[in-house]
Amino acid sequence: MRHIPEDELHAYLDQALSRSQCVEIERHLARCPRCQVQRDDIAALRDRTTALLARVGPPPIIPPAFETIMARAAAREHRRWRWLRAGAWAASVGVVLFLGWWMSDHLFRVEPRSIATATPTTPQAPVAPPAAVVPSPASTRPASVARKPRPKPAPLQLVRASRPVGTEAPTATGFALATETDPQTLSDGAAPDRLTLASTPLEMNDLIAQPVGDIPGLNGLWRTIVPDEETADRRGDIALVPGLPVVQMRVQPGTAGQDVTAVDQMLESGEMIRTISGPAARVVTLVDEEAAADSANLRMAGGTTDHMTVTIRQADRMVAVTGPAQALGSLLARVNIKNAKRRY
Amino acid sequence: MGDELEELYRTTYATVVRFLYRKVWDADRAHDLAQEVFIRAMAHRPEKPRAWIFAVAANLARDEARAAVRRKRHLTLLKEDPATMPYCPPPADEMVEEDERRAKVDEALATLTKRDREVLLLWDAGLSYPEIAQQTGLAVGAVGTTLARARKRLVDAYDRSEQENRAAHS
Repeated sequence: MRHIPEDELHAYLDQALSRSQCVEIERHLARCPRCQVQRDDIAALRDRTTALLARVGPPPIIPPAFETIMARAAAREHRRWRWLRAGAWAASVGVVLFLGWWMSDHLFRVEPRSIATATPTTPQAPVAPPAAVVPSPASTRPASVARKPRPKPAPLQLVRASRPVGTEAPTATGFALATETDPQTLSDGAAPDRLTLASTPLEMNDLIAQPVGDIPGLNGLWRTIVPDEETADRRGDIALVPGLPVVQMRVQPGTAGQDVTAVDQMLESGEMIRTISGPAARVVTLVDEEAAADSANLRMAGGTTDHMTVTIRQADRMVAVTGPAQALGSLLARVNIKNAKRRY
Repeated sequence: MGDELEELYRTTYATVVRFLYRKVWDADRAHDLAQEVFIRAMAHRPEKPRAWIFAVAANLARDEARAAVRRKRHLTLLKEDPATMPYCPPPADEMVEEDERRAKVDEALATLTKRDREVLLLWDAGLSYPEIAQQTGLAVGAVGTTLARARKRLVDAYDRSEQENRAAHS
C-alpha cells in the first residue's frame, strides 16, 4: 500500500488540493494508522509554525482608512499628470526651438536683401516661387568669409516693378510680385532693373519711424500709371514692397527729371500700405501733409488711426512707407533680421 | 474594481503589514510599504490584485533590504573611524521575555534558505499555493514540499536554540 507523501499531507492540510485528491487521501487515511499519525504530526507542526510566526508579527495593526490610501493615490496620479504635462510642454518647447533653429538655418539664409514674398492673389499675376524656401548661394558660403573687416555691404535694393513681356496687360490689382531671388520669372529672361537706394551701408539710424494720425493724403497732380506701360516706355524705377499686390501706382513728375512715385499695395490683412519714393524734400512734404486729400483713395476700413510712416533716406533720395503700424513693425523686424544675418 | 480593491484592502492590509514586517523588521516601515503597495495597486489596477499586492510587497521589501545592507556597510565604515563613531549607550541587560522569544524566531527564520523563508512567509500571509508558485517561480506541486521543509526547519531551529538557552541557564 502506498502511503501518503509528506508534502501531500501538507498540501492537504493547507487545503491546496482538488476535491478528488482530498477524497482519495481521506479514503487512505481512514484505514492507515501510520498516515494518520503523520497527518497529526504535520498538523501540529503547522500550528507551531503559525504560532512562532505570530510572535514575530508587528504590534497590533490598525489599517488607515481606505479613503486615505485613495486620496494619496489620487494625489500621486495628479502629480504624475503634472509631470507628464510639464514633460510634454518641455518637449514642445524643444520642438519649437529646434524648428526655429532649423528655419533660421534653412529659410532665412536667402540673399540677405530679399524679402519673403507673398503668393499672388490673382490668377493673372505671374507666379513667383516663394523666395523664402529657395536657398541662395550665399547660404553655402563658408562662415570665414563673413570675417572680413567691415567690407562694403550690399546696398538696399528695391525691385523695380516689371511685367513679363508678351503677357496681357494685367489689372491694376494683379500686378507685381517682385523678388530678388528669382527675378527671371518676372522679367521674362531680362535682368531686372533695380532701384539702388543705398550706395553706403544702410544703418538702422537711417530708418526713421514717425507715427502719423492717418495715412496722408496725396496732394498735387498725380498721374495714375499702369506699371507695365511705365516700365516699357520710361524705364522708370518704382519703389514698392516686393510681394504685395499693387492696387494703384501713381507718378508725379518732379524737377530735374526726378519723379515722385506713390504705390498703394494691399497687405494680406486687406489693409493698405503706401510707398512714396522720390527726392527727400518732396517725400517729406507729402508725408507731412496729413490732410486727407480726395485724391487719396486709401480709405482705411474702420478709420484706423494706428498708422505710421517709415522713411528710408539716402542722400537726397527718400522712400516713405506708410501703413498699419503692426504691418510696418513686421517689415522693420524683417529689416532687422536682414541686417543681423547679412553676409558679405 | 474600486470596491474589489477596497475589500481586498480591508481583508489583506494587516496581512501585508505582517508579511512586510518579517522582512524589514520595522513596524512603521512595514506600514509605509504596505500603504505604498495599495497606492500602487490603485494606479495599476492589476488583474489579480491579491497576488499582485504580495508580489509588489516582496519587491519593495527586497529593495528595502538592499538599502539596509548599504546602510549597514556605511555604518561599518563609520565604526572603523573612531572619530566619527557615535556614542552608543550600553544595551539594557534585561531584555523583555517577549523580545527574547521574538529574537529567537528571527534567528530560526534566518537559518532557512531564502526560498524556504519566502514560501513560508507567503503562506503565513495567506497566499494560496498557486499564488505562492506564481510569485516564487516554483511549480505548484513544489510548494507543498518547500513548505514541509521550511516548517520543519523553522521549528527545529527554534527548538534547538531553546535547548541551548536552557543548557546555558542551568
